[in-house]
Amino acid sequence: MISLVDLTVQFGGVRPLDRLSATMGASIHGVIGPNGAGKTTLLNVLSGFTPCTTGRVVADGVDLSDMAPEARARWGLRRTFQTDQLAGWRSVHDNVAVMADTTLPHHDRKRAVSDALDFVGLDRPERLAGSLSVLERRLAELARALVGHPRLVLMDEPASGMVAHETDAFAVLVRRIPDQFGAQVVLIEHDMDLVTALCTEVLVLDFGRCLAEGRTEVVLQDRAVRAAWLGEADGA
Amino acid sequence: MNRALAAHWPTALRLLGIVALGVLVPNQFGAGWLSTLTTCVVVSLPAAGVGLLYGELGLTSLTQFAFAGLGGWIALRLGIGFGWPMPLLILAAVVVTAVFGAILSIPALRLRDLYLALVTLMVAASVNIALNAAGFPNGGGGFLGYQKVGKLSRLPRPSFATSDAAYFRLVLAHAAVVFLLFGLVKRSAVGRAWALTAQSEGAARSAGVKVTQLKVLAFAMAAAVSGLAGALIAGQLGQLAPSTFQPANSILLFALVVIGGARSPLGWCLAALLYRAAPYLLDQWGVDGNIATMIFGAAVIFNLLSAPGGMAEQFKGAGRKLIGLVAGMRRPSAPVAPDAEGLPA
Repeated sequence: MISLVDLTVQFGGVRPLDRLSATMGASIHGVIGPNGAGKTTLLNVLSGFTPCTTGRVVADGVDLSDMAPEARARWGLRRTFQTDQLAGWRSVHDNVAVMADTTLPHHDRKRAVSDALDFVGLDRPERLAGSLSVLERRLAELARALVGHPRLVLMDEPASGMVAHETDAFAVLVRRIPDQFGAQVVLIEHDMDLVTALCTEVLVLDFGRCLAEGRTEVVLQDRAVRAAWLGEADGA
Repeated sequence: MNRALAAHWPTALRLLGIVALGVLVPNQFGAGWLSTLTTCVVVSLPAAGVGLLYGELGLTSLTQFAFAGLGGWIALRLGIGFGWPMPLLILAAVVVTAVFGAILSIPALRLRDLYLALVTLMVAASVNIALNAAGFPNGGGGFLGYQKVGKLSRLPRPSFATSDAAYFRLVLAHAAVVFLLFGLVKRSAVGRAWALTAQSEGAARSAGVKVTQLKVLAFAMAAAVSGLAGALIAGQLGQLAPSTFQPANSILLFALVVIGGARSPLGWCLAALLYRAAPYLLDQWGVDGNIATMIFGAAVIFNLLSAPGGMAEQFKGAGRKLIGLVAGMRRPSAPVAPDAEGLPA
């Protein structure tokens, strides 16, 4: 459960987030909106890379606002990136194990890494990360995010670059995360099929404000949401 | 048990190779080549430092010879001035250069690529100017221990390594320990965190990696091995000249490590051989050794275009192919094993 309280981010004259208040409570919560709506800024505020000018972020009753990204990782916040971030010259194992090194005591690390790799179904962890396919790279990054005790997993457009059957396979895994790991998932995604398939609730951003929030099927019928969405389609 | 043994055979093989070098090189080569190869082993240390910073963290630092000069200065000052024994000289050089490396890393923390290269180049130039002004200690008085006239003192070699052969083995042993340590660190949690930091600092921080500490550690380690190299070369030659530690030499060594292969100990060794042995070989053939620099320039371009992993990677690839061929000849019906790159399942 994440509470965003009066969040504003100001870069000079630009306000990517403008007094945003919302609650994200679904076990897999979607964040959607046209380009430039502030989705990635919100994700950067949540993970601690962009300081908010005003407002607070509270997750599971803990105020994250003043925590550095490293501290948030140890608290249980995880994120994946729009372009996957794996060191291609190191093995899959090494890329995943970084999270275990920083968040777990020594004797739990090996087990946690192999559990995460088993969950995403990546075998032969000695392979170089650079030799993986797009889906496998996403899976390796997901495995890294799930090592340790994740409480909140933020995903920034995980389906980008994947073909339909890869997206389906990925969605099956994401759906199992809340039960298996006890973590909430926040999904930023342009692929509306994936959002409707996974997210019971969504938050719709537009110009840094909350345009709508609530149950996915209700929100997607909302007139304002459709206008913002179609407006983007016209412009594209 | 067998698998555990099999995992260690490359290490055992390398160890055997180092022992073989220690036995064969002093026996097979004359004084000129032995001295050249001793310098090569010494230079492999700052090359390893470049490999650490550039190969593991993607950082371009051009201070290797500046720190070697500093290490050499400390060794000469304490050795000639106070008669400290070699192990203590080495320790002092390593500790002081590590501290200087850590201090240098503070402005470097926010810089990358060309900007970092420029800043470190200026530091290297400043150190060289200071060395030129102060001179290397040679038995003079005062803090600097330098004198223009008078009886020039030299740093004596340790009693257990006075001969050229013994000194070569001493240097080789130090390099082996450093390479082993670097290998262990690369395979540890620190090495994994370095790799992710090189890929993306953001990704590393959101994986809980303390990026600042790890960068300071890398700079300190790279500086420390350069300081070690400086102390060793002071012991080898007995006396030093500032021109050995010019910034241009650091640039050349950096380029050679890129050519050799920054992520591989074999690449560091190749870089050191190219740095010192190649010009010496050309000199032996009656060709101007400076021509090597021109060849290196062409090699950098070739390298960037066709072999980003460096010569070490190419040698290893050729080795794997050879082993595959031999194995294929021995077991013609065996299924083809996946190569080390590992094709996706």
